[in-house]
Amino acid sequence: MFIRNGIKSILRERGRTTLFSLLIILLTVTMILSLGVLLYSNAVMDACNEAYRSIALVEYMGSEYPNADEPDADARAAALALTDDAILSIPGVTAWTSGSTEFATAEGFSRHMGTIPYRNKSVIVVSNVSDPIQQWTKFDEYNNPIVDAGSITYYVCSLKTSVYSQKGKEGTYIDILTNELDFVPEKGKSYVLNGSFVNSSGTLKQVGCYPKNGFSVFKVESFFSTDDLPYANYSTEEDITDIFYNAAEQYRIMNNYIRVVPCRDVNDVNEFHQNEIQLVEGEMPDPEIPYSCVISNDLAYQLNLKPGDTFSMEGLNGTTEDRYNLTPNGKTQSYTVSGIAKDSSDFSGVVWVIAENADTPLFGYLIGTASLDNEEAESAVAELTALAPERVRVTLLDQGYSNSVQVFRDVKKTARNVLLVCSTGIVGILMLFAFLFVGRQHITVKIMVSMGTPSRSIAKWFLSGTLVLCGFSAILGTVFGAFLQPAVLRMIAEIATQENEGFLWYSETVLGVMKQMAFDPQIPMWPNLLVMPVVVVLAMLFCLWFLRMARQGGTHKRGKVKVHVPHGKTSSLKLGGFGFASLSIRRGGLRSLVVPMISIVLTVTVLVLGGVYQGWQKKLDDASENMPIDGMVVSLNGRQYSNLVLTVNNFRSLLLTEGVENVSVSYGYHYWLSEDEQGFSMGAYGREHRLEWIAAQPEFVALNSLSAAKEFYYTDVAITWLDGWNESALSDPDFTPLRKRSDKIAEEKIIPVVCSSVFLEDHDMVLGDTFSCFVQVEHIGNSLKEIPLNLRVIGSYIQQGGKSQIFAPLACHVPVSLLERDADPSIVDNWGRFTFQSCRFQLSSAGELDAIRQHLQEQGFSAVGKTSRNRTTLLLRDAAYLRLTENMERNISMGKIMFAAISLLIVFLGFIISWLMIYARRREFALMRGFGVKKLRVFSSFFLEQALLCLVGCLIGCIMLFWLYTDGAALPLAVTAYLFCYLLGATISILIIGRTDLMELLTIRE
Amino acid sequence: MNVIELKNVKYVYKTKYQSVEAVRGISYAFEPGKVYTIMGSSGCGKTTLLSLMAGLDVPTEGSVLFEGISTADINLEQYRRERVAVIYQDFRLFPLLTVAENVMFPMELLGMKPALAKKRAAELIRKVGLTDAVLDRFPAMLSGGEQQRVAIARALGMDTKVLLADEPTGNLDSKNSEYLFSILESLAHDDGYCVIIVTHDDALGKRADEAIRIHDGMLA
Repeated sequence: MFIRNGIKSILRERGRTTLFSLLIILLTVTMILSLGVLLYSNAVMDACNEAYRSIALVEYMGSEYPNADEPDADARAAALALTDDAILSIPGVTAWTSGSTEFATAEGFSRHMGTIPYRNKSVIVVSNVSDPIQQWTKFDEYNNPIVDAGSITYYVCSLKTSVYSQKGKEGTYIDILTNELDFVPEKGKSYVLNGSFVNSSGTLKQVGCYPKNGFSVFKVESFFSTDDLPYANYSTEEDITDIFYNAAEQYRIMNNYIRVVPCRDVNDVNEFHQNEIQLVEGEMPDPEIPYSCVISNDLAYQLNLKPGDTFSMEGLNGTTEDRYNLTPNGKTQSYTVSGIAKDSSDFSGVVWVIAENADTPLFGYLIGTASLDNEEAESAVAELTALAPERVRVTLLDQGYSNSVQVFRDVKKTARNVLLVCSTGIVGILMLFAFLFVGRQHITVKIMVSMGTPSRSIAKWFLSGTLVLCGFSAILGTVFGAFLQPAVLRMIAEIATQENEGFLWYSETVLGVMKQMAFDPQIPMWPNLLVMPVVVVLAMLFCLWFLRMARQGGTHKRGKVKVHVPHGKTSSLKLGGFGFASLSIRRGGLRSLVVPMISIVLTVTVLVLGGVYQGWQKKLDDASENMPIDGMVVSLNGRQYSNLVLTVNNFRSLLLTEGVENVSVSYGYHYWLSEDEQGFSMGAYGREHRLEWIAAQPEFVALNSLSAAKEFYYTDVAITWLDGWNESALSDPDFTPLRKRSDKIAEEKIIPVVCSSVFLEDHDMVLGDTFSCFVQVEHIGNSLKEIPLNLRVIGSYIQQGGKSQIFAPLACHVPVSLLERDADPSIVDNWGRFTFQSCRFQLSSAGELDAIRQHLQEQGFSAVGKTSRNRTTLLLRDAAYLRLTENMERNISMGKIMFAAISLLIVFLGFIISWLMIYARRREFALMRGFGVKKLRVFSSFFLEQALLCLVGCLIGCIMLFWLYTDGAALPLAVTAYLFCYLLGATISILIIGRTDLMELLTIRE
Repeated sequence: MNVIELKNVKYVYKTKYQSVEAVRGISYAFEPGKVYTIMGSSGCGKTTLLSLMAGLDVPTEGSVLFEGISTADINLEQYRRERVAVIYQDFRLFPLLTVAENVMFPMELLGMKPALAKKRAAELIRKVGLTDAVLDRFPAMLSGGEQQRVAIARALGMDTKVLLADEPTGNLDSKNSEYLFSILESLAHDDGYCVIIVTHDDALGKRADEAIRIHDGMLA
C-alpha cells in the first residue's frame, strides 16, 4: 500500500514528474555519452602510446654536417658537455643512447655494400712487366704533345695473383703507375706490390692523367703502418713477406668491418624508428637482455645465422682521426640474434645490440638519441634544447603521435568537463527532486506520523516513488545513451581521421615518418551500467536525508521570535509604483539583497569569463601579427641542409609567394690565397692533387644576407664591422658575377668581405686590410676556371669550428636584381640555370601561415617527407608558433563555448530567479489587488522593484570589473541579455499572476 | 469504565533558552459513549493535552492511561495506529491521494485487503453524509466541510473507540459545524465512541456531554 501510494503520489505530480524525468534522462544520456567518450579517448590514447614511439635526435650542426665519418672536435666537445646524468634527469627522457658506434670483425663476413673505406687497396703479384710507356697529357691543335703540360709513365703487366684485393682481376693485364716512388720495374720481371687500383674517370683519362689503353690501373703506394718499401721482387711464394701479408690482413679487416650500434632499445634507433629499415625475421630484442641484437640480412646470410643463434665477434679499434683505420683490440663478445633486418646498402654489416653506450670517439654529428615518453616528449625536447650547447639541434621525431592524440586530448578534456558538469547537475537535480518530492511533503509525513505509521513504511512510501521515477528515467537514459554511444564514438573517430588528414605541410613539427594508425578500441560497457545505480542510490540517499528533515520539521520550535519594527513612514497609500517599489526594497531585508547579490555574481561571472577568453584572443592576434616565422630550403628528411641545389626558377617562385619576404640566398666557391697554396708538381698527378686540395678549401660565399650562411643557422649573427660598413654591403649590386669575370686579371673594384677571426689571425690581417685570392669557378661544360679577386675585410665573425668561409656580396654570384619581385624577365631567363646552395626566408605574418602553406603546395614545393613535383623541399620553423596557437586556440574555443553556455545559463537563471521572486509573492499581489489597487500600479510596483534591484547588481558588477572590458560587443550584450531576461521573467510572472483568479490567489497559504 | 484517564498530567516544552509549562497537573477521566469538549483561551494547553492523549508524546510528569495502561509503557506508534483517531482543523488529508485512498489508508495500514478497504471506505463516506461521487476526487476538489467529513471517515476507518478532534470546526461555517458536530455526537452516542473535542466554540461546549475548561495549563 505504501509503495503503491508512494508511486501514485509521484505520478500524480505530472508536471514535476515529467520535468524531472526528462532532466534525469537527459543528464544520464549525457553522462553515459561523456563517460563513453572519455573511456574511448583514453583507450585510443593508450593505443597510440603503445603504437608510437618518440625519440629526440641530438645533433651538432658542424660545417661538415651530415658526414657521419667526420672527426669534428667541436661535435665531440658538445657531446662531452651533454652528460648522461644531465640528460636522464630531464622528465620524459627514458633512455639515452650516445651516437658513438663500435666496430668488430667476424670470421666469414666480407663486405660488399655500404662504405668500404679501402676498397681499392690491394696487395698483388704481377708478372711480365713491360718497358716503361710514356704518355703525354696534352696535345696541341696539330695533335703534337705539349711538353710543358707534362707526361705520365706506366707499365703494362699481367696480374698473377692477389694476396688481397676486392677487384678480382687475376689473369688480366693491368697498368701500373709507380707514382712518385723511386721504383723502376724491370721488363719481364715479377713483383709483389702494395697499392691501390685507381678509379679513373673518363674526363681524367681524356686529359691524360691516366693510361688510355683500357686496362685497370694500379698505383704502387706506401704501407699504412710501416716505412718498408711497398714493392719487392717476386719469384716464389716465399718472396711475399709478412709485411705484405700483414698489410693484406689489415685491408681485409678494415674493409670487412661490422658496425656495432649499441643502444637501449633497438626500436628507438633512428633508422628503425624512421622505418628506413625493417625486420624481415625474428623480433626486436628485449631491452632487458644484454647483447641481444638485430643483425643485417647480409650478415645473417654470410654467417648462416637465424633468430635465436649466437655468434662471436672480435672488437676493432680505430684511431681518433680515422674511424676505419681499424686494428683488433683482442676483446671477443658473444651476441644472440633476436631479429634480422632487411638488406640495404646503407645498413650492410650492422649489428644493433642492447648494450651500454660505446666508449669510442664520436664521428659524425649525431651526438645521441634520447628515448622519450610520448606524453612528455615535447617538454623533454624543450628542456633538452635548453640544456644543449650552442649549435646543437634537438629534433623530435614522434611518428605523428602528438598529431594523432591531439584530437583525443581535446575530446577527453571536453568529455571530462561535460561529465563533471553533468555529475554536478545530476546531484543538484536529485537534491532538488528530493527536496520537492520529500522535503516539502512534511504534511504528508506528519499525517502518517500522527496515524502511527511505522518509519519504515513512511520511508517505503517515498522511496518507492523515487525508485520508480529515478530508476525508470535512469534506465531510459542508460538505454538511450548506450544506443547513441556508438554513433558518437564513430563521429569522433571520423573527426580525428579528418584532423590527421590535414597534414601540416612544410612544418617542422611533422619531421620524420608519420604513422597512420587505425584504432578501433573496444570500451567496456560496465561503466555505463554503473551510472543508473549511482543515480538511483543518490536519489534514495537524498530522499532519506530530506525525509529525516521533514520528520524533524514537523514540530515547530516555540520561543520568542524577534520582530523587526520598521521605522519611518509606513503608509504606502499615497505612493506611486516607484514609491511602493522603493519602500518594498527598503523593508525587504534579506530579500532585497538576494537579487543584487545574484546579479553581481552573475555579471562578474560573465565579465570574467568573457574577459579571459577575449584576453587569450588578443594574445593570439598579437602572436599572429608579430611572431616571426623563418623558413629554409632543406633536404627531404628536413634535418640536413648540405649539398642543396636551388635553381633560380624555383627560387623565383618562392620569392613571388605572397607573404614570403626577407629571402636570403647564398652560393659558395672554393677560394685560396696563393701564399697558402703548397707546391704541386706540374704533372697530371700534381694537377689532380691540386684539384683535390682546392675542393677541400673553404668557400667564398656570395650572399645577400648573413642569415643565409650555414654558419649562422643555429647561432646569432655577430659581426664586428669596420667603421662605416654594415650588412647592406652584401646587397651592393655593383659587382660582376664571378663566372663572367676574366681569369687573367682581377677587376679593379675591390670586393668587401666578412672574414672569420681565425682567418684574420692566421693571415695576420685586421679589419680594413685588402688581400687577393683565387676562386674556382665552374663554367658551362664543367670546365674549371680560377678567378683572381681583390678583397677588403669589412667585418669579422667568431668562427665556431669548421672552415674559414668568406662572405661576399651576392652580386659576385648573380645579379642582385634577380631578388626583386618584378625582375626583368630577360635577366631571369639569362640566369635561370644558376643555382643557390642555401636559402632562408621569413613569413610576413604568422597568421597567414595556412595560406602560405597552401600556396607553396600549389607551387609544387616538396615538404619534408613528401616529394612533390618541385623537388625543392621547404621547411617552416613554426613549432613555437604552432604550440602557442594550438594552446591558445584550444583555450579560446573552450572559452567561447563556456562563455556562450554560461551566458545562456545566466540569462536563463535571470529569467527563473525573477519568476520565482515574483511568484513567491503572489499572495502579496493578491492582497493589493484585493484592496482594489489598479493592475498597472501593482505591475509597476513589482516590476520597478525587481528592475531596480537587478540593475543595481549589474552596475556594481560592471564597475567592479570594468577594467576587464577591452572591446567587442560580447560582454555588454551578455550583461544586457541577462538584465533583459530578468525583466522579461518578472514581466511574464506578473502578467500570469495578474491573470490568475483573485479568489484562487487568496486561498494560497504562505 | 474509563477509556482515557489523565493523572496529574504535566508537560513542559523545553527550548534552548527557556522552559514553558504548558500543562500543569491535570487529572480527568474520559468514558466511552460521551462527547467531551476541552475549552480555554489560546495557549492554555488544550492542544498539548490532546496531543498527549493522541500519543504524540508522553507527559513530563503524571500519566495518560488508556484502558488503565500508561501511554509511557506502550508502543506509541502502535497506540496511534490502533487505539486513537485524530482529526485536525486543517483536515490533514493526503493531497495526492483520492478521497477513497485517503480513507483506505488507515485500514490498509492495519492490514486490510485493498478491495475490502475500498468497500469499507465507501460505507464510511456515506456514513459521514457524502456520496460515492467524491470517492475518486482529490481533497483539493472538495469544500472545507467535505474535507473535514473525509477526515472523520478516515478516522472511523481506524476502528478505534477514541476520537480526538483538534478544532474540527475551526475552518467551517456554522451549518457545516453543526452538521459535523451531529456526526461526532452520533458516533459517541450511537456507536459508543469517546469523542474529545478541543474547541473555542462555546456553542459546541454547551452541546457536549461534558465540557472541560482549562486555564493556564490547569483545570479551571
